[in-house]
Amino acid sequence: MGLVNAERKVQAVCLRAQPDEATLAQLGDRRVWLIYREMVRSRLREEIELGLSRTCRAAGSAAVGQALERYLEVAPPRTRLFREVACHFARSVAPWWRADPSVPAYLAELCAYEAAVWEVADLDARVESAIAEFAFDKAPVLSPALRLLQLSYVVHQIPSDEAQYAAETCWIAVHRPADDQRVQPWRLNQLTYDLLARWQVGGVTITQATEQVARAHGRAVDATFVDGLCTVLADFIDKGIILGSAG
Amino acid sequence: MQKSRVRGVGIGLRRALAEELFASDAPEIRWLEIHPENYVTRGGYFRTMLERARARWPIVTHGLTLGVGAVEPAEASYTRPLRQLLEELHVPWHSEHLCFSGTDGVMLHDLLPVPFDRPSIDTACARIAELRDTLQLPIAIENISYYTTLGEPQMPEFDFLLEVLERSDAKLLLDVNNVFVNSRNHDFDAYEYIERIPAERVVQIHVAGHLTRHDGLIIDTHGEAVRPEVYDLLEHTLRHTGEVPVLLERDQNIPCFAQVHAEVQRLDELYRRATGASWG
Repeated sequence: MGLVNAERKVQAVCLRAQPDEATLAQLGDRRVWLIYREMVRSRLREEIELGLSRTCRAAGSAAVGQALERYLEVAPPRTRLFREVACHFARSVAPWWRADPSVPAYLAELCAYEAAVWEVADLDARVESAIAEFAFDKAPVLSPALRLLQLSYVVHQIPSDEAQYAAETCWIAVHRPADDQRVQPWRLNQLTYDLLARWQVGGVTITQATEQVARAHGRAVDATFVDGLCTVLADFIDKGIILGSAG
Repeated sequence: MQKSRVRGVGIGLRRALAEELFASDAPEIRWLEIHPENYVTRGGYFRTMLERARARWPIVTHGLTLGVGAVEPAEASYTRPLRQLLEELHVPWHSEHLCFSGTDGVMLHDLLPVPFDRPSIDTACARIAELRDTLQLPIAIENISYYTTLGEPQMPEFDFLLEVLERSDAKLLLDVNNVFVNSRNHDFDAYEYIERIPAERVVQIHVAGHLTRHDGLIIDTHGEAVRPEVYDLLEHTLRHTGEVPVLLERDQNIPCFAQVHAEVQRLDELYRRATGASWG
């Protein structure tokens, strides 16, 4: 059957929701190829359940099983890094869960949040380029171990009843400082979130980005605004979210 | 870290054991093996763990996803940071498996057998040559546990392995537990298999535990203690190969460090007995 075809057939047996009997017959020992299928699928599921534990608890075993089945069939892992499988899965299933009335409405948001925490825990927080002292007339250098999320449920806190996440818009920065292994979620207001998001895009100075975001919010950059901005900047520098300015 | 320091018995660096390992005084653990996929471009705890480990032990790398039976060459977006990591760690060689783990860009994260035929040999030799060129290191390949053959085999697994080794001039990471598991699942003599291995190609040995399923199939789980029959086969192997570093693999169902250490002590004793090595 040729090497390429042989490998494709094995892959199809492992990934399809229902393995094709004709393909199994071509591969040889049906019983053992189904054992390989089970090993592949259970290893991936265990990793997903490890990375997205709260999400999987909230979804329940059947919904996770259905999502995994669909994921493996239509958007299987394409990363060599096993640690990235949970995030890859999360990116695929979040839109499916958003459109599915049979799962809790907060599930997609919880999944996106947990995936961000999982990812940030492993991001390399080192910055290769030179970092200068912080200055308003330069582009800021942000920690690479930072992800920003706008959520419709308060999923960054664990409620007393895990099935009851409050519906409320949240702007969250998920961050891990370079010298720490703990990931922290920081709840922001929308203005601060937009500032951080603009700085993260890069290419503009603190002053330019601030003017753009203030304009979008209909705010004047007056003394009160600047006072607030300075407090936020000092806090971000203290937390290691802003590392300095581009050198 | 000098390359020649990889001697005796090593263990895999695992998060579940790391803190106890770092706090331990376990002179029988002489080196560590890592799966580079777990460290490439990674920060956080794993980066710190690796830094602490390499300050104390020589490191050897054993890949999980660049199976040389893959039809597609490895992408530079992975091999570039991999090479950087291997250079940082001063590894003496890098090993991968004689298998495939996916095709068309998909990654199944398992070690799947390739057909034992000429096209697979050609493919494996091509992948090994590419890896050697890219990583600028000797490449070792590991014999996998295979639970069935893919299609009708044109030759026995041993002949397949040997031809890949000879044509590609690769080194061998000889997994003794895999030889044992395969010998039971496919009914051949594991001792005879070991004796036919060209000893000069073997740069590293793996041993691990395995599990017998209810239907009799033996699975290489890395989740149990090494079986007495595998210790015996290892001793026979070391008498054949001479002094080659031995790794105790444990990836599932990881016990407390004391238990792992006890297994390493037993392996160290066996290693010295079989090879005549002494640690002065």
